[in-house]
Amino acid sequence: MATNYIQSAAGVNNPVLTITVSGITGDLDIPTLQDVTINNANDQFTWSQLNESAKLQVATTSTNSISTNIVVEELTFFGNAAATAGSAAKLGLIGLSKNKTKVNFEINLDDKVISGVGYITGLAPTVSADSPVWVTPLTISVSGEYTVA
Amino acid sequence: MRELLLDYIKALKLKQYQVTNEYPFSNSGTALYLKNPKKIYVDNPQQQVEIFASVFSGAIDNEVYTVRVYFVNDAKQLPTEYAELVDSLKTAKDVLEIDPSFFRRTCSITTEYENDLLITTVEYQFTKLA
Repeated sequence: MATNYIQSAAGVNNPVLTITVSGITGDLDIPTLQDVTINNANDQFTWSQLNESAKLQVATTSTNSISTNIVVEELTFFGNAAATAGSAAKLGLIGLSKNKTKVNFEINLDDKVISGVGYITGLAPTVSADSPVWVTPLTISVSGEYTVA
Repeated sequence: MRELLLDYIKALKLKQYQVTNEYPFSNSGTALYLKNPKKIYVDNPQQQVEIFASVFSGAIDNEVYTVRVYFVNDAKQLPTEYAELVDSLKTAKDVLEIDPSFFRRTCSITTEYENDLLITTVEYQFTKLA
């Protein structure tokens, strides 16, 4: 059976994180992703039975989030003044986080796409004298289930 | 960058050392600075591009410029100005009026012997985002 690895590197199926605000034109494509982690952590209800030598579990609800580190880019972070009012492109990451705006997001793994809705959080821009470019973690705290297409 | 360094060294008004605009090329297999003790040579800057941060949409690069200065002394008796010259050359990395976007400036001074000659090499590295 052929093994189909999903390769992602600069310029080769590179993941693109796109953020939009429902009903408002103006996508925000994050161009400077350094790494991406897609978290899908299921909680379990665990119980013991006298007739079982091991605990039993059933999956309940999951906590979903997208974690990434990015290099701060001005238009993406602070927004594009020329974009449509209220759009993700206009607000930028800092605006979406500050306003607690509910956003739609999608990220691709080659030709597969994972999407959902959530909130931008976890921004913590940092810079140092020896590494003079601003970088920041970014988390999308997902509300509800992922859609996989 | 080379010109700035040459101007800086000339302005030191060294008594026993001379500064030349010549490049430290080899003549008949011997570097010029070996033939001309107490003459300071500044080489052409070398450039290197290296990755500063990897991002999926393409790398953010650093440009590293390396400039080397060479001079030679009689190892049997160093000129009294030698230590002062080395100190002044160390200071050059911070006082050269190069592009302020160079965020890292380093200087290393090494010596080696060729028969009775002490070869001093001063290497400057200046780094900025590409």
